[in-house]
Amino acid sequence: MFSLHRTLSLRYLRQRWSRAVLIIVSIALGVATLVATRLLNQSLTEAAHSAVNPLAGTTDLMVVNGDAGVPLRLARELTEARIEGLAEVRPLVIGRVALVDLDYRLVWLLGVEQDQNQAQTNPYGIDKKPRTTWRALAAVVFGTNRAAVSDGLARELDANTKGKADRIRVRAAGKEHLLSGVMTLTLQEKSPAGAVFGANFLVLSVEDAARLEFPGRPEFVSRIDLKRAPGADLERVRAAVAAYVGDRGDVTTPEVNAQAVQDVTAGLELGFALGGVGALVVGLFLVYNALAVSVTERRHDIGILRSVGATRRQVAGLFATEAGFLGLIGSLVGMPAGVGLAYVALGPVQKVMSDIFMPIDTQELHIRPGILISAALAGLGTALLAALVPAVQAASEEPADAVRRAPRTGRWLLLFLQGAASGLFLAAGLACIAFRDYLPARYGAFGGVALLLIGGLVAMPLLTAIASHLLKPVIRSLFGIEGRLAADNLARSPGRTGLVVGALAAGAALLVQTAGVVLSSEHAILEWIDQRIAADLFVTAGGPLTAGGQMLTMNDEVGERLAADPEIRDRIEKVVPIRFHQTNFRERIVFVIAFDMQAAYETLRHRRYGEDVELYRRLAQEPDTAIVSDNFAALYHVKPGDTLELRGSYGPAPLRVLGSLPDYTWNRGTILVNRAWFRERFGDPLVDLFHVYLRPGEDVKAVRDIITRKFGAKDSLATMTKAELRDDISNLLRRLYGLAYAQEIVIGLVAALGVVTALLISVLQRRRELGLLRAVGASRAQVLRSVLAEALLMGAIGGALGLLLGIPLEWYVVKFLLLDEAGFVLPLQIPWLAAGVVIGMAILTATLAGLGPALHAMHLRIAEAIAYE
Amino acid sequence: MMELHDVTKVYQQGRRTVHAVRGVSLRIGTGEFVSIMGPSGSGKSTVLHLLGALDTPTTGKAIFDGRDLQSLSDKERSLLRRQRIGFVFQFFNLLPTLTAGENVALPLLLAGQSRAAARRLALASLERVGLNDRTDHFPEELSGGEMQRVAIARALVPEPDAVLCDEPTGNLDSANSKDILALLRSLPEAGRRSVVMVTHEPAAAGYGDRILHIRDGRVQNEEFINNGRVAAGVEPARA
Repeated sequence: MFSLHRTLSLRYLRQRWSRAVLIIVSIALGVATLVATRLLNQSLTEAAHSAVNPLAGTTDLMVVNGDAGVPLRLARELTEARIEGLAEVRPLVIGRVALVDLDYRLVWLLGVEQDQNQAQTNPYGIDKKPRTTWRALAAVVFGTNRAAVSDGLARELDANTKGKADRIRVRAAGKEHLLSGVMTLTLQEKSPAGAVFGANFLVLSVEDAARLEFPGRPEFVSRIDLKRAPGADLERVRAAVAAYVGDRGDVTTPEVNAQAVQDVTAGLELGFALGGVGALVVGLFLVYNALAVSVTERRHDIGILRSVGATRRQVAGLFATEAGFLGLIGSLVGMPAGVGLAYVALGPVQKVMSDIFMPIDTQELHIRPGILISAALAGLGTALLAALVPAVQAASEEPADAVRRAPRTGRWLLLFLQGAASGLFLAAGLACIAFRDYLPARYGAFGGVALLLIGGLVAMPLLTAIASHLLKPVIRSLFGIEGRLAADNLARSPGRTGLVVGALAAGAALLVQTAGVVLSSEHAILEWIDQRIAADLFVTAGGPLTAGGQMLTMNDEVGERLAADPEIRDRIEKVVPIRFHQTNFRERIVFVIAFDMQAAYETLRHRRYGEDVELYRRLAQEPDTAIVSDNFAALYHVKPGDTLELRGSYGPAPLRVLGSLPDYTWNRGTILVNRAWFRERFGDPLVDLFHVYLRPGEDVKAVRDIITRKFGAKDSLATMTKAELRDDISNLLRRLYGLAYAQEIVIGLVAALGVVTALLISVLQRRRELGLLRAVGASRAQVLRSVLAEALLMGAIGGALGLLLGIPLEWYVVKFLLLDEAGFVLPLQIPWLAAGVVIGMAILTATLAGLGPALHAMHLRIAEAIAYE
Repeated sequence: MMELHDVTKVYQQGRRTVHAVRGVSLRIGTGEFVSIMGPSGSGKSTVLHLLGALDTPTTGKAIFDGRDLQSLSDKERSLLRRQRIGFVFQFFNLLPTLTAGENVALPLLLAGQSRAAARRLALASLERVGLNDRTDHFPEELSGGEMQRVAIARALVPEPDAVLCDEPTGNLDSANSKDILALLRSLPEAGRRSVVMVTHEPAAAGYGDRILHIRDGRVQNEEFINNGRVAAGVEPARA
């Protein structure tokens, strides 16, 4: 069989190399997008897990309570309780501090028990050593071995402090602390800590670290890690510990805890993953198209093969082998290309994820062979799947019909099957969406839209035929003979052009949809900022408000100094401290936003913020109450009067819901509480942000400049005006959807390749017609125009269908997906400008893609073309 | 060797129903060279396709060497064509992507023979039709007569029991036509191989042992040729 395939297929592919290359590139682009998306998702998910639960891999169980932490005392109690199956209890403090001498660079802070400073005694792979012998001696004599930094940091600190790096200054919670007796610390490169912290970390005793991380309640730690005894049943140990811990914390496995993190970014990741799969699906349809046309083109050859004794299976095998071979090459090319793409995209994507969700720090891609292999198999499978129908079609040819070139029968059957398949996909998609509440999370919502898209693609030949029939009279009256021939040709071969137009439409629809979602989100968020956020300036430490994980905590004293500064005190009406606190609510990560409601009420009631003010007033006056964000209310079906069961630092902290208001801070919902209540229940005096309200008529920029000059360097403060906040959020949204745009451009590129294939085939099929045109006096330019007109028409129809599909798709994403995913209720905005650009791009792409085939047609030799059989 | 028993063939051509063959019965003996004549659209090519298992009758029976072709599966019919029947067509029907040698080797490659073995036999077959110097040329580099010789070499390469030719000289000039017809005439060797040739040229038909005249899907009459002379007016053979 190999001899046969080698003789027939390789020779054919060599002769039709341009088409083979197009198929390979289509598959390669799809595989590359898939590989890149999956690698990025994988690496970012791992990084997100590390960011929220660093060193989770070193433990079997954890006792956690969001940002509130758990009492250190509990660790001691657990040790003494001698719970069966529990072998080890390790309290941990994990946080971030800024190194003053390194320009306030944020580094990880790790607080471990003193007996865990040597590699043998801790599971993290850290090993303390004195920096010099005399320092080691001093450490023993004076007991100053309190802190340790990584080798790399020690060298940098040495350079910046003229060798005085055994005393370092760190900033945490708005205060500067001096750490003396600093030692160097080595970290085994492949250790769990090495993977998380890299070179940026500082290790303290658990008590010292708690003093920095939990000022005001240093008896708390971030979490308590538990190791079970060999052979002990994990669930049994968990249950026993949970019974002991009670409502002081959640006892969970790292896996379960990771799910809450995954939940935050899963929608976005799934969206990206679908984009990757989308590129491959569009590739599948284009490969199908190329192979189906190849079967039509080689129908006579199939007849010859059958007449000399080829069986149906041999004929089908021939086409399947060709497709498999091209798919394999495409996959092999796509894999390294995908890895390259992922490397290029890692930095920007990490930045966006950090800004929006959580500080993510991943320096490298984790290239899993499984991802590469599954993507390669997907590429190969796509090619084989695409070959299925053409191969069966080829095998079903009756030899006598094929030899005598009898017209194909069963066209109506094929159309019926196409219609039925499309209907089936559309119905399945709608069913998925309708019953999404009964399906596993996200399957219905995302699967439904994927099925609808596939259904639309399958229906495209039919839609293209209808569109070109409708357009024919217009083209005939508007354009010359070239346009008329192009329109006729398009209408005549919907099978060849339909899927290519479909691919263009799919790319255009996704671009329109993304632009629409960006516009709708931007519009709603900016409106929220304009109408609901009254502050004139936003003051943060470490980095600006929109820099996500780069921010440092502060304390009230910073705000008091701001408000009392002689240069600006007369200009400032009020400085309101705000604290963002992450906690778990119904196994999801939500944010508690705490601020002084009375102050907010007094400030806002003079401004035009009527709706919120009344809620603020009630919250300030009624104890144990909260306002929730609209998306929180939608996601957790919470209504006024309901009670939310939160867990504070010292026990249950129930809250009665007063009402809801729009808030786009967090996609899993926010709870607004009075700061006095928060301080009491959570023992947390820290501040993340100061809202600064200026007196009417004051120059915002002038005050901002004074704050920056006087506090910027000293307190590492960053100040944003409201206009800057708006601009930053717009940019952030655009960057967030940048990856989606990139994927859609790949889909557009694959579609453009499809246009090249379709037009090359068109030129081959029309060779005799084009020859005749030339014979009766058509110039080369007219032939060129005729082929280009067909390309242009394909682009125009693809773009128009893309717009028709894109707007309902946007409606679906905005009204269903975003609502399901984040509970955000956004008003729909149609991106007319972007839609115009997308249609223009579709026409331009198709026309450019048609240039090669058009030039080929232009140079046909008349005599040969006419003689062509 | 090959028989048709009251065979009809009806097929759809768009919205039109074509009655290509309307009750044909005939028998081709072993070692016989039979010409089938008729105007365009008379059904002669369809009869050839039915004889060679390229097509199956709508009604009636087509027999090859005692086996009812309709009772065979598609795979069995494919094997029959591959091993025991050779076809020669008007437009040569060579695969343009293969060289002359590879085109001839095609049935052997389909049968799973190695490239080397298939090439060896293909060369021998090409030598037999006088084309051993054109083995590595592609069809587009060959003349019409040469292409038809390649097609004959391909038909002969599996040493078939029957060679079925559909207008083999329809696309050739007279000199090439004569050569091809002489070659075909030499094929029925010692009563071992039958040749059936469809043509609408009386001169070409005269190369056969017998001429069947077909019109409107029916056998109109039959002529026997004795040493080049036609013995007219004989009724068609009844199976």
